[in-house]
Amino acid sequence: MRKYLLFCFLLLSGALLFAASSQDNDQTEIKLSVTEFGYPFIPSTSQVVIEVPIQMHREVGKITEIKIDAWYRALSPYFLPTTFFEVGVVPSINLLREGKYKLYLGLGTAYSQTSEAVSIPLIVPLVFRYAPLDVLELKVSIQNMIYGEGVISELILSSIIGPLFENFFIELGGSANIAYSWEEQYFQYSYGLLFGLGCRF
Amino acid sequence: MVKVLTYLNLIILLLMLVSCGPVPMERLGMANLSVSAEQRSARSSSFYERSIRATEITDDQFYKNDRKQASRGTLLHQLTPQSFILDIDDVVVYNRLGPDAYLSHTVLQRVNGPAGIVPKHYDLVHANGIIRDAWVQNAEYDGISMQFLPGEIFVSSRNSTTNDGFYVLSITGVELPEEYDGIQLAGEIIDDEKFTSGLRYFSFNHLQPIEVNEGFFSYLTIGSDVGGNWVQNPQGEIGTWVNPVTITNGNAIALYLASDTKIDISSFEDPELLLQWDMQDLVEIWDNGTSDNLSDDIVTYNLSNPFPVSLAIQENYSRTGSSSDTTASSDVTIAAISGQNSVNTLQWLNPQDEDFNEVSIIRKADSAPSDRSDGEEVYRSHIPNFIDTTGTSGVHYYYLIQTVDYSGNYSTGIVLDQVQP
Repeated sequence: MRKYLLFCFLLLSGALLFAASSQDNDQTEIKLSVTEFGYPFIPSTSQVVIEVPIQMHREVGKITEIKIDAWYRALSPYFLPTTFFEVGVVPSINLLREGKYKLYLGLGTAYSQTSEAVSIPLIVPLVFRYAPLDVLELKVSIQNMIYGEGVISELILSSIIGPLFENFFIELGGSANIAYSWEEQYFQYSYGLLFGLGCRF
Repeated sequence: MVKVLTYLNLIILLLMLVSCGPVPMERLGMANLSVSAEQRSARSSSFYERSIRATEITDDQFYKNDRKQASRGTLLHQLTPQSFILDIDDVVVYNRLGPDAYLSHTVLQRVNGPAGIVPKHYDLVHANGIIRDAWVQNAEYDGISMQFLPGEIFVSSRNSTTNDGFYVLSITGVELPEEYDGIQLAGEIIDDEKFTSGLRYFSFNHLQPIEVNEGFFSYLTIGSDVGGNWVQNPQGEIGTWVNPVTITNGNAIALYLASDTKIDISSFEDPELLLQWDMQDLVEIWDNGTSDNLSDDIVTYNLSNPFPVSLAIQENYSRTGSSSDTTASSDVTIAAISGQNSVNTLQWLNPQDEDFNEVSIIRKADSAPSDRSDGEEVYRSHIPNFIDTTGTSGVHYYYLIQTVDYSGNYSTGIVLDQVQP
């Protein structure tokens, strides 16, 4: 277990290190958020995410927005690595330049451990964000995770309210998952609510 | 730009090569649910965390004519069956969304061979682990529903041109009082070749007291959403009907039993849903108004509560073997091989032994395997059927079927053989 925790620490700190050492970058606000997923209603899964935005000035007037998400997720409302935990990192690039719209396409990986097996997926997330108000952002996220024996696709629809008290925000929404294992030849699905709290630095 | 795309492609390729492992269903908030079946008399009250009781169906308006209160004679015997075999097709847990609408999750899949359904025989007197490793959301469910094949007689569709051949085996085995020796009763199945236990077997269709007319009793639902016990399509007519397992056309009949609570597995880490069919005094013999004639006596399920089914949820206890255990579990019974049109299909009944774990099948061409190292292992699971799709047409295959207990002991095994069609 100790080596897995060390791996988690390296993955999380590695992402931050990468972000901190980038040249010509204009770092804005780092976000730290804690989310509880209820499948469907009772909190059963918890996740902590660090989101590091990076702005790369390629030439005058042209900025490439990149963000790096690193997370820890556990099948426990209290972040305990019981029967499942996962650490992951995904760098994403914003494909839209409109002020209120953002569309991030990412590519990353994770380390998932259950009580029986270890899995390392290829992760391809697509996140659309729309901020109609200064204190409201709507998010649609599809995270595709390709494993050696199947795929998981997670759809998240959420509203992010904030900043509140200058730095804090609340995320409310729902999550739906579809999993397919070509090895075992079966589909599974789940759905639930999510509630997140976060702050910006 | 080209350079960036090349790098991106390389990264994707690298990550795809690195990606490995099974899909972690726990990420979906899933629980690894197992479903077992046992007769109620086997349970200890302190063992279960939660119990869901189905209310009794006592209204005999749905009963066959000879079993209605007004027409039946007197109760002669109450018997506890020693074998209660049901061919279970599907099992689902479900939530009711509205009238005629269900969100269901199948925990036991129907097995369809290349040429027809392959029923799975389960002896519910002891069928530990009907299903293992079925993933469901950690949630509350309104109920559980199952489809089974009732089996009027010991059926084989071998002669059919469309099916590879299968046996329907929903039967109940009971020891009758001596006075019935030499008397064949209505609904009794006699097959000396297959039934050697000394029990007397009756078809489920005959024993269950619901009148089905031209239809067949095939669905059972236990749910907290069920307002009162009722029978769907009691006339057995062809029509559209809906239940948590499926929405289709047919002349099937479904029984709905109300339960007092929902199936709530949200607080269980590794839940096991135990389906309990109480065998105590389940079979009754009634006089048909002719006290001097035993041959027309009616053998039926208990008329005051013909479907004594309930559910219990518990944390799954891991069954482990012991190094001091050197006794293998019993062999499978009523094994059959079929498959006249395509592949070889094997069916059997798992033994009742408490420590039965799984079945191993060794296949060998042209002669019977002398032991488990003499041939190729083609199957290892607890599900009581196997469709061999890997053989070559025209080859005479021999299959050694052995049971394996939790201590790793193998039974002597039985051999089935057939030329692959």
